[in-house]
Amino acid sequence: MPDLSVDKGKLQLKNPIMTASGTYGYNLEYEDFTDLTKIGAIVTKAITLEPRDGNRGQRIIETECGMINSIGLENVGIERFLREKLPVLNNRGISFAVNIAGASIDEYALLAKKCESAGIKMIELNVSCPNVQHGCLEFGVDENILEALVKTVREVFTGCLIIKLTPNVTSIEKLGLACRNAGADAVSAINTIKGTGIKLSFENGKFKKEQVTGGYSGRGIKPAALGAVLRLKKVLDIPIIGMGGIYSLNDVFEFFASGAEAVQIGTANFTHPDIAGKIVSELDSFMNNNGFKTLDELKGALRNE
Amino acid sequence: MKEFKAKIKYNKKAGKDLYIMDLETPGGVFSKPGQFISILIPDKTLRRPLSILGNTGDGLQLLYKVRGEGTKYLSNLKSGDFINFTGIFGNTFAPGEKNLLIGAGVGLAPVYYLKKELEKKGVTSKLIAGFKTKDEIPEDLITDIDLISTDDGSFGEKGSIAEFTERCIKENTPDTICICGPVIVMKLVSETAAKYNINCQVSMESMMGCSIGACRGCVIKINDNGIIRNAAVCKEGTIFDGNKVFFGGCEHA
Repeated sequence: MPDLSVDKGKLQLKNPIMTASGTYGYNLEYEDFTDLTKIGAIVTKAITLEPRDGNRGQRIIETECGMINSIGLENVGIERFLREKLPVLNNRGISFAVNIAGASIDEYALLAKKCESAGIKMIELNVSCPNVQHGCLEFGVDENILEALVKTVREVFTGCLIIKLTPNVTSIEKLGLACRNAGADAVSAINTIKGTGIKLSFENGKFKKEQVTGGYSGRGIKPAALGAVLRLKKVLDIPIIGMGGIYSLNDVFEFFASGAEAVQIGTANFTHPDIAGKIVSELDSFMNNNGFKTLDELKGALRNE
Repeated sequence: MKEFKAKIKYNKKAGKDLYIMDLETPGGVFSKPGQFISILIPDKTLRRPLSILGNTGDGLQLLYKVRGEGTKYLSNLKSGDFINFTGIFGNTFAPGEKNLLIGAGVGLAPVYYLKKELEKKGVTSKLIAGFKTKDEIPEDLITDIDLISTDDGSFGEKGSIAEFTERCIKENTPDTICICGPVIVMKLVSETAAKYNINCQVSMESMMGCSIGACRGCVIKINDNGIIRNAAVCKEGTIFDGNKVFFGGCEHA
C-alpha cells in the first residue's frame, strides 16, 4: 500500500487530490457520484460575511477549450455555512478547506476568526475572484496589500492558511513571496483567467450574440497554470497547490513535475462528477504497480531529482 | 443521480433539425415527466442537458433539436453507439385533475411525456403544441397532439400557440397548465393562466454547468412568497410556478 499522504508543514492531506472552490458546492453535492471521504480535501464555494446573490444575467458560456463563469460569489454567507453546511462536513468525515472572500482586510480577518472558533483546520483565501466589483481581486494583485492581508489573517487563524493566487498579474512570484513572508502555509494557483466568451449565430438576417465576461477555466488554461506553478516553485519554500485544466492522472503528474505538492480539480467535475475519487484510485494503483512508496518518491522521479 | 452508459437503439430524424433518440440502459432507469439528463459530448467542457420524451421501461427516449456542436454530434450517432449521461435530474410536474399541456417547439418533449403518463392514470389532459413551420413538427408524435399551430400557418392553426391558450382554457376549463417552450411563450401563457386563476407550471431552460446545484451557473430569479431569491434551474427546477418566475431576467436562457 503506497502512502499517498501530503505532509508539508501545516498542509496535511490524506492524498494530494483536492477539488476546487466554486465547482464542488459546500458539502454533499457530489456524493451520489463519488466517495467524498476519499478526496484529499474538498474546497468549499467561496464564503462571504453576508449572503450574496451573485451576478445577474447569463453566468456561464462554453468556449473552445473551457468555459467562462461569472457567478459573482453567490453564497449562503458565513453564519448559515457554519450552522448548516459545516456540521455535515464534520459528521461525514469529509476533509475540507473553507474558501473565504472579503471586501476588506477586516472582513477577511473576521471570517478567519469565525472559522478558527468553529474549529476549521484549513482555509483558502480567495484574493482573486475576477467577478466582483469590490474586494477580492484587488487584494490579489498588489503584493503590499496582499502581505498586509495575509499577516492580519495569520494573527487570528492557527490552522493551515492557503492563499489562492490569480494569474492576472505581471509577476505571480512577487505575490507568492508576499504570502510566504506574511506567514501563509501554502499557495494555490491558479484561479481563473480573465476572459470573454462570445457565441454568435446568424438567423433570419440578424446576428444573435451571447457574451459572458468573467473567469476562464478548463483544459485551455493548463499551460498557463503549469507556467505559474513553475515560476512560484523557483522562489517559494512553502507548498504550492496546482490547478487549472486537470482532467487526468497524467495532468496531475504534469503539475507535480512543475513543483506542485497537491492539486485541485475544478471544471472537470462538471463533465466527470466522479473524477476526483477516480484519480485518487488511479494514483494509488500507479504508485502500487510501479513501486513508488511515497508521494515524495514519485514527485522526485517526476522532477528528475 | 448517477452516471449511465447507454446504448442507442435508434436515433432518427423526426423533423427539420429534430431527432428522436431511443436509449437502452441496463436494468432501465426511473424517471418522471419534466426531468432531464446531461449528456457527455467528447472534448466539450459542459454536458448537454436534454429533456426526457418518454420512459420505455428498458431506457429513455429523447426529442432534441440540433442547435449547436453538441446536438450536432448527437445527431450523427448511429444505432449501437454508446453515450454517457448523468441523471436523472430535476423535479417533475404536479398535474391537476384537468390539465392543459402546452409544448412550443422542442419544448414538446416533457409535456408529451406527461400526457402519456396521465393517460396511463386515466387523468384528463389536452395537449397543444406550436411550431414555427410544418417542417419542425415531429411527425411521430403528431397523432397525440390535440391542437397544432404554426407561426406561418403551414400546418394546423396559424399563429403562436400562446394565442390559442385562452380558447383552450374556455373550451376545456383546465385547473392546471403545464408548459415548456421559449421564455416569451411561457411568459404569455403564464399571464393568461393568471387571468383565469389557473395554476401554471413552466419548465425553464438555462445554460448549465454542473447539473446538480453546485456551481450556481443556471440560476434564475424567483419570487418565493414575497422573498426574491435565486433558484438553480437544474436542482430546484426545471419546473417552477409560472407566477413566481421573473421571465424578464431569463431571456438569455
